[in-house]
This record gives sequence, structure tokens and C-alpha cells, in this order.
Amino acid sequence: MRDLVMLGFMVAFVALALRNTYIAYLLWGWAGLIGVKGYLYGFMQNVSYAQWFAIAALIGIFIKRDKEQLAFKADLTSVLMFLFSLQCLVTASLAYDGLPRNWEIGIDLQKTLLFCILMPMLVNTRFRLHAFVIMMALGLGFHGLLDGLKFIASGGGHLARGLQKFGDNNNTAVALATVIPLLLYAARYSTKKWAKIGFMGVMVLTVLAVMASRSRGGFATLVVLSAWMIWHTKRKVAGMAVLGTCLVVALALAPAEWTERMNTIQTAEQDNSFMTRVAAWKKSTAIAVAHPLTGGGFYAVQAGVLYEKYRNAPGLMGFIDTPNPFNYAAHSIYFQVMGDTGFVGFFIYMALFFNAFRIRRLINKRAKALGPSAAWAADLANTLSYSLIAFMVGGSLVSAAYFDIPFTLIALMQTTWLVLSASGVPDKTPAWARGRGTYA
Amino acid sequence: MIEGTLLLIELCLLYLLLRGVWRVSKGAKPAEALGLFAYDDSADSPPVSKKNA
Repeated sequence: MRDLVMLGFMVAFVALALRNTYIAYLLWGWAGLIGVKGYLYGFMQNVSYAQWFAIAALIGIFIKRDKEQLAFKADLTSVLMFLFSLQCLVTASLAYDGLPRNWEIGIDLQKTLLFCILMPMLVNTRFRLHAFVIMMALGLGFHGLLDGLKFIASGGGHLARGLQKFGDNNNTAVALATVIPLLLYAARYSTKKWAKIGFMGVMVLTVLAVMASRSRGGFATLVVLSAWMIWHTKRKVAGMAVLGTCLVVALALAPAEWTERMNTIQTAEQDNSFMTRVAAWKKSTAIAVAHPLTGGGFYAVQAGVLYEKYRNAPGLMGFIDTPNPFNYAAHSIYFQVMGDTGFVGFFIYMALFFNAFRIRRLINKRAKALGPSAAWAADLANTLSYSLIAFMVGGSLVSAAYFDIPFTLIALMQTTWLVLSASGVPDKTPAWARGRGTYA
Repeated sequence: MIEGTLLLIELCLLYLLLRGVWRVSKGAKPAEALGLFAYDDSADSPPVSKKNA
């Protein structure tokens, strides 16, 4: 039944995608974020949704040449993404033999980076930016909605084990935490009451879904994200009051097992789970030291073939005595990129994040100069930065470096800047009438 | 059952969003064309000048 419904919607979606390039592009993004295959069990499970929508979007961009799209123009974000894309190809080509997911991850990354590099060509007005944020809120919020409802229905007993799209519970918790600021933005700018209520409700459920994952990294991410958002809001007291209420409600709902697990954060150095992460980080640095320019290849650190070679190598962390390491996952986006793509890839990866925060500053400055008509841009830039902070904090403990979420957020930050820059002199014409398809 | 229902709602909402994008490409006013997802663009309106007031 579910597959038949999906088939019906696909007919409508494909028809729209073939007639409008931006719709195809939105569907490409949505299919990548929701991983709808994980919710289907019949004949529609094997359809490559993202691939088909990507083909429709690429045909629209390069062959049909949508009248509303812009010509490609290089900017620092796209250059960094292009460099990272090249580095990933080099990494995958020169990887150690026997890495089972090397080319799978390498090719997926190429698709993600292509999606992001093309973004400024199609997302070129405030309206399109808003539609993109709603698409992300729908795609990612769906996971939060589902696990949050299960958490409530089970009286806090539901364990969110993770999603096929993201991996285990820790990875999923980080992915869910990144959508919380986007849901808040969507609620804030919606004019319809039901949309506001819906987005706020999904946001609360997403917080509960992160708790349902029992991920300590996820919980730490929520705490840091809340603190960061309160620090940057003008209504600090109100923010703290809301956070306090949420914490009390969440702790009241949480089962004893959850509280016990979170308490182990205080004794991390005695915790075997934490120390195995340190061992994995050490091993990643050892691989990077051995191959500083190209790294060991994707998911090298957890490959059995490299276990003997690097199990006792000191790398950059020889000063920490680690227990007998096994071939664990990287357990940190930073060490994962370092080990997989070498120091070159690591620096490009970090430059992408730093550049996004630099752009956020530019947007805020420009928005302030333009006045109330540009307040949305400052709010969106801040929202994106909150999501990036959530990813960077949560990602420090999980192997989620190649998720499409951070790259999409970074590209969206650049796109927001481009749209705002094009708005020129403030308040001369309504934004919707400013002429679609031009930045000038 | 719940999962299937929520997926159906998700698909309906996505359709609403895409329909809004389609309508805008045909000339509708962006902020309102999104229907349920209409957004606040009141600050984007030009200020009323003394001359026009």
C-alpha cells in the first residue's frame, strides 16, 4: 500500500520535475535528506530517487537551460568544494587496497559536492531560499517527528537505533540536531498558524528523538546548541526560561536508563567506549602522518587490512596511552577526514567551515546596513551557523564527515550571501518583484 | 501504520511546497504562492515615501 502511494506521488513529482528545473533540484535534495527507501518495503524500495531527480535537474540545468537559472560563477565556497572534490578523487584512487566502501563514499561525495556547487545557479531569490529551507525541514524533520512520537508513545522507552540513511544512533542524533535551528527558522517566518504550530511541534519532537537515541554526543550537542543560540539571541532571559522548561520536561520523560548513560559523560576517561574513540583518533592521525597528501582512503581507519599496520603507531597522539585498539570507526569527523584524505583534505574541509562563518559575518554586517528588509538574511545566516555548530560539536564524536547536511548548509550560507548582495539598494522594490534570475 | 500515515503527510506537504514553486514560476506572488508555507515578507515592502503618502 505504502509503495502504491509512493508510486502515485512519484508520477506527480516526476511530471513537475521534468517541467521545472528548480523543482527537480528540490526533489534531488529532499530525496538525499530523507532517504525514503528506508521507509518502503515493496517494489518502490529499489528506486534510486535521488539519482532520477538529479538526472532531471542536470538535464534542466545543462540541456534545457532553465530561464530562471544563473550562469555559473565561481566563489570561494565553490572553489573550496571543487578542491575537496578533487582531493577526494585522488584519495579514492590512491587508497589502500581492500577498503570496502572506498569508492562508494568517494562517488557519493562527488554527487553531494556537485549538488552544492550548482546551488547558486538555481537558488537565486529569497523565495527559492525559503523553499529550500522548508524542503530541508521537511526532509530531515520527518525522522525527528517519527522517533519523537515513538519516544512519547513509549513513555520514554523507545530507543532510536539509527537510520539506514545516517548509520547508527550516534550519527542519527547529530543529523537530527542540525535540523532543529532550521525548524525554528521555518516556524518563525511562517505566516500560517498551522505551519508555525507544525514546525514548532516537529522541533520539540526532534529534541525528544535526539534523546531517544541515548547518544551522549547527541545530548552534548543539544546542550551546546541551546547555549550557543541563547548566547546569540536578544531575548536571553526568555531563551533560558524556554530551555529550562524543556530540560525539566525532557528529564521528567527520560527513563532511568537514559539518565544513567548521560551520567557517564562525567567519567569519560574511565569509560571504555570513550577510550576506544581516543584509540581510533590516534590511529587516524597515524594514517595521516604516513600519507599526509592523500590519506589512507575512505573509511581506512576501520578497515581490517590496516589494523596490524597502525595498531601501535603513535601518530600525532603518542602522548596518550591507549588500550589495545581494534579496528573501530573514526569516531570524529575531524580525525576521519584527516585519516581518510590526509592533511590536505583536512585543511580544505576545515576551510569550508571557517569560510561559512566568515560569510555569516558578512551577511550580518550587510543586513544591518540594509535595515529591516534584510533581517531575514541575518536570521537565516544565524540559523545556518547554529546548524553548523550542532554538526561540528556532535560530529567531534561520530564518523559523519561525509554527510550531505554540512555541505548543503555551507552552500546555503554562500547562496544567502549572493542573494543578499544582489538586493543592492534597500527597499526600492518588493523582493518578489526584483526580477527573478538575476543577481544584479 | 503511524509510519505510513506520516509518510503520506510528508508527501502531501512536499507536494504543496512544489506546487507553490510551480505557481511562482507561472507568475504568482512568491510569499503567498506557498500556501501553508507562506512566509512573512512584509519587511520587503517599499517604505511609503512622503511624496506618495
